[in-house]
Amino acid sequence: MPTARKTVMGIAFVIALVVTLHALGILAFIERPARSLIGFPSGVLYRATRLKTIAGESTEATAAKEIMEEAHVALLREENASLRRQLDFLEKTPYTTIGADVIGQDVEPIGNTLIVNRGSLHGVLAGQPVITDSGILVGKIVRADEESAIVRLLHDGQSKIAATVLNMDRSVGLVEGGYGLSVRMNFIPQNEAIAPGDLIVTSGLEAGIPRGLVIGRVEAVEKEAYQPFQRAILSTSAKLDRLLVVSIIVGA
Amino acid sequence: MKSFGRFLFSLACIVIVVLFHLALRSLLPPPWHHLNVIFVFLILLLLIQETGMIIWISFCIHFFIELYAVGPFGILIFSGTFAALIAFWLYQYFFTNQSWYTAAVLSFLAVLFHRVLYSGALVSLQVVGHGAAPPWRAMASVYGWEMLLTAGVTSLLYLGIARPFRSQKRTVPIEWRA
Repeated sequence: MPTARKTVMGIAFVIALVVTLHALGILAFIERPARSLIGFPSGVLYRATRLKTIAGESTEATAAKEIMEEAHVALLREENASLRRQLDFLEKTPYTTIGADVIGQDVEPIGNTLIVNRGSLHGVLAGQPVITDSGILVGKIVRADEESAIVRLLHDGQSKIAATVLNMDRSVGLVEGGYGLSVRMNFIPQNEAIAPGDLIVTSGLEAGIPRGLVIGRVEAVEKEAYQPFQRAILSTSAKLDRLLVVSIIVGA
Repeated sequence: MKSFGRFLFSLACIVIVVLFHLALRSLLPPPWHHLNVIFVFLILLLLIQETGMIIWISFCIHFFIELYAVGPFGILIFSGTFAALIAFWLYQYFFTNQSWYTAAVLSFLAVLFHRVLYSGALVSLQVVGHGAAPPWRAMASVYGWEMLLTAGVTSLLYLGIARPFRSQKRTVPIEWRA
């Protein structure tokens, strides 16, 4: 069917042209108004769908703040005992953050992402951590456009965060999503003791993500004999499906 | 002036469909939020208007969606546009009757081809080193729900709303109409 072949080639040419123009940045004059056209009403609709769930957040905020304070005290104690005595480090100053409103969530059925209304014009870059107002990590910036950005949440299938367990061994591992609403910490050495209730924070081993951001708590530990690593099932400290306002750490 | 008015009307419809698609993902509980409103709209438009313009409408809609997608730019446009083209061909040459089960099968196959092409593009990019391996098991479950729900809703809407607006049963093959 020569007509069909022409049709397919014509469509493929148009798509290739659009992708090329996008890569060269030539389509920005169309993309910018398109994002504005979608972004504002999308934000209104998103907030309308979340309003009924924020009624109970006042009690949840208090619990989140207590978790943050517990993690902060534990880390301060450790840094005072070893790093300051040996290396004369000064304590890291508080991060530079910018606030952002959540204006939408994942547009694809398989992703767990949020759309926020801050982008590269505001200093947002890919890889920057995103926290709630209680200092709890919720995800990372995966793409930053001029006036909006996409946040990959912790429980997304492609989310990977270097983390530390606040136990005796300060076990390090990798917090990964893709397990529904929960996350797992993998590659924890088998010989290190972790227990339900242990707090998980970022390890600082990942570029751009400072140490000490709270991720969650251990709910269960999975061990198999003769395996080099064990894994922990975590519950995140932030309610990832109820976020309205977040902060992006732009300077750490 | 008339064509400019039609262009604005078409653009408004596209924006409304995109917003509806995004809103329902937040509003509906699982597994209903997997419903693909875009293909419900495209298949109903195909059955009512019998026009090949659904291909370019799909192109525009997925261009808007692509602005907020995490994956490499172009994958959704590619899979969405060619899925609409395949749906149009299937309607033109195979499912030539206008009935609720045609609506169901067309929308099921359109979403199936959309996801097959999308997954194929992801695999191709992974092979050349762009992007991580997709979570296949989760994708299969989600896409299965998406196909079933989209087919069901399309057939119900066709029975309830679209059927009174469709043209007379065609006796000649349909052609491209702008």
